[in-house]
Amino acid sequence: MPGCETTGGRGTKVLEAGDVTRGPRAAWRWRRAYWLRVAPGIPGGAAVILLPFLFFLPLEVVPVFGERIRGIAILIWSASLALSLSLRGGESLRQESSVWPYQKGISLGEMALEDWYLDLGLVGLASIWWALLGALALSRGPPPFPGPLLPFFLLGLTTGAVCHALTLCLSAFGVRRPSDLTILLALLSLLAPILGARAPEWILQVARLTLPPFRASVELHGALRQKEAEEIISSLLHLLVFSGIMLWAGLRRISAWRPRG
Amino acid sequence: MSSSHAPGESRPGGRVAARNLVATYGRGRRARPGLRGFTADFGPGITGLVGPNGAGKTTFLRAVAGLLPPVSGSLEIDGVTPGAFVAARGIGFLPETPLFPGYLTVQEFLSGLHGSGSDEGWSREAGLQSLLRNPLDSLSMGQRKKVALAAALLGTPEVVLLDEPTNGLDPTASRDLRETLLREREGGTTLIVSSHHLDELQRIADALVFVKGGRVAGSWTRRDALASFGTLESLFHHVLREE
Repeated sequence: MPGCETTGGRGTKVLEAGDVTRGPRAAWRWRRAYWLRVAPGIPGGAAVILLPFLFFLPLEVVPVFGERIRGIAILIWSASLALSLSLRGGESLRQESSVWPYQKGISLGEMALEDWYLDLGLVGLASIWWALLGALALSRGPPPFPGPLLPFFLLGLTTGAVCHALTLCLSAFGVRRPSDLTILLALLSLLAPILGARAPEWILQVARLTLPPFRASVELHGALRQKEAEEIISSLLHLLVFSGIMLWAGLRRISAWRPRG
Repeated sequence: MSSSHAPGESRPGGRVAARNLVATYGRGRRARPGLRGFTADFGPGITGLVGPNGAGKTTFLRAVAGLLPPVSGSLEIDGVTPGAFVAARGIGFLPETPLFPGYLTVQEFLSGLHGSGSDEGWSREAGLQSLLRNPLDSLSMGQRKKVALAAALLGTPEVVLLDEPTNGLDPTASRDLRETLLREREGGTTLIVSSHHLDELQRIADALVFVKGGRVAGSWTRRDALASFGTLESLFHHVLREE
């Protein structure tokens, strides 16, 4: 009796989990379409390319910058945060359209990780561009080129990495607009020493360890410029551990999630 | 996509076995029972799932697709849980209202699911040549169903689940869908079709399962159903009236 049977065999069979992915070519194709048509889009891309020409302006006259190198660093940090938020912060990872890759045996966690790599790669490329022009803008005066190149590049990249890891984790847990919460946490991270000026030291340490290390990106930049090895290692560790934990938690969560269908 | 069978090649479809399956939809206080002891077996061929609105047809399809974990009872495809089966071999699932990543074109979407990054003839077979460059969010309902069906059949899955596949389709598209399903059946696929369009099911289904109140109220081969009731519509009203 085809189709419907009154008795059914219930033998057991061990199936090996398939190693199914979209494939790197398909992952690139989907993500590139997202970049072009959703975020950052053509206007965002233009902003990324044109931003560094601001570095050649006399930023030192702006009171909050104080000096040109500081102004460039602040602009790079802000641009990296803005680009990362536009790439990942506007929507949840939990999309009902995930039913399509899911049903083909494609791991949702692996998809999320592939997209994360590609997005971070885009931020990395942008950071290289910003760092190059930042160093060039400074070469008209001390310190000489290419001294600030690596600090500027890592400032952009690590800021993006922290933002990406945090937004991936938040959106994997169902936060619809992770960008809003991320901005709040970034501000808290930067302002923690000021807000907690009269707080006991242990509170500041707890805040430093639990808040997203956006401040650590800035501290790393400063430590690289001053060649303070201990501070460099400490900041890098902080960044890596935080990003790693966020990524692990987020990927684990999204791998277990199922669309409604 | 892990499939060792070429398109059109006959191979045994997956066997779906449900025993006293209980599943809910919604969460926490909003959880509602969808299936209340559903027991049935499905094998290669086309099985129609019929029943009144809210009977549990969609809930069952979602459970078989691994999208809804059972609360109790058992549900297996070829002896393993639906989640493990989908992860290892994939499945075909056509939701009633297909949702897509709207920013992709049809070609980008389908080639990405195929895993190759390029189309390899499936677009011709699915009649999608003229739509390939269209963004998914620009398609009409019928076109979306066409793309969704092509996506569901990508990788020649052994089990294909279709939830109201002919909703919104014109007669030509319905005929094309019918022919596609019959072709898949000839290939040995297990197809479970939930539909209110009983005339369509009458043409293609090998067997029928009537779902009422989250349980199986009856199951027949098409021949027996038509011999006993004349039409599926008569069967529907008869079973619905039964306590």
